[in-house]
Amino acid sequence: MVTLIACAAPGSDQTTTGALPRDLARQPQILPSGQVPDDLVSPSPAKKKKGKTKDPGDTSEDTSDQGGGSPTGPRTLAGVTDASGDAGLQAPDHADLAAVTVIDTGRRARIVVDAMAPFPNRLADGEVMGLGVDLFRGAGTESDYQVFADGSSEGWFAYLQTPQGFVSFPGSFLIGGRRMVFEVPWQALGRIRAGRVSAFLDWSKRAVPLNQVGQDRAPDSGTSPFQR
Amino acid sequence: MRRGTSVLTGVALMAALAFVGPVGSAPGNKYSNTSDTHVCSQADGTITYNGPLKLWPPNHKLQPVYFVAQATDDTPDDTMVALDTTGTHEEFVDGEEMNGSGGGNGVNSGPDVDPPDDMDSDDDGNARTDHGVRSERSGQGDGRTYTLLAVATFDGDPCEGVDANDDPIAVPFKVEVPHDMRGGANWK
Repeated sequence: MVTLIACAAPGSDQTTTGALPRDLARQPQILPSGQVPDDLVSPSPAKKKKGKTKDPGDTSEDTSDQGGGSPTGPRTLAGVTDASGDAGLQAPDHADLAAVTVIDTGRRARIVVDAMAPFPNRLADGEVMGLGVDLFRGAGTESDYQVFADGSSEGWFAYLQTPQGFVSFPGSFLIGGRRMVFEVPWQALGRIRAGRVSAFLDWSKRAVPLNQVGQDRAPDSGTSPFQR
Repeated sequence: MRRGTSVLTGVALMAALAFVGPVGSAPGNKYSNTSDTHVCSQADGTITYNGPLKLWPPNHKLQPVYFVAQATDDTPDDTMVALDTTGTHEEFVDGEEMNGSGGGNGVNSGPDVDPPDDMDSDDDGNARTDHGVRSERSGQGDGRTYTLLAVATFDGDPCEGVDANDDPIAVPFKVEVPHDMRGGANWK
């Protein structure tokens, strides 16, 4: 007969090794709102890539294929607007999505997220935000690629999750006023040529007895298609 | 006795390398290089959880984790090992289960702990199951704690944990999604 002998309660000697996901994240270049080029989000098809942002510290190579945005200039692939005041009664305006735009700059995907009010460079103590843009290659319910920005009192951190997990953020990340701009090589997005996009913004702030919360999505349900 | 990988590096590595590649084999997902090993007292084997013990950021995505049951008897290659794993979470605030806004109701409709494709059972001394654990929590609470449960047998001998009454239960492994990285995350 086998005697069942107690093992120690779990959670006693756990170890964590390797890089934390934040080590793979990129912190933003912060611009005053007035210095964010307007054509970042409203590119003219006939223009060259004027206004393209590149983080000075970004040394990633643009070795991906050329999309429809080149050589004639950036081209808007998807644009979703979202109503104001739909992030929850407690949510501040900077947690209320206004628009999400996906632009093909040729070698890179430019993802522009607008809120109803300027994003704080650093959130208040106990306040956290999570802004995600999901890119779906097929018909699945789980996105294939996701650009995610984690905001807190420590500032903002941008992540890229791929089917292989988190990877070192390969592009640039800019915040200016109520706008966030991510640029990621299409190569890092699996050279996706057609798919669907959706975005979400979670907000919460520690409070007693319950934390304050807000949540918004664009589009409000489902996804928006895009094709290069 | 439960020990961390720092103590059982050899066992964990052998178990993983034997048939799944390097520990934390998800390419690029470096923070999955974590393990938590339960040493069976009533069977010659171990059950090791491989994956993050704390999930961050709370981006609603499934993060890959896996379990390995490894025989440790004199002839491990001939040991019949069966492994069955599941997972759940109970996110409560003031006694109420939370599934509210602020990051907890999920932009994805899939399960928070997806089941493995199949439960592994083999006679080569080890078994493995893979899961995805969703990195999300309600903004209203203090975070979410997943309980991942593992049951293994080694040549029919069960490897189990015990509850507060010393009754046998599946071996629990805890994975947390903190509300924020302040304090509770304890990563710095």
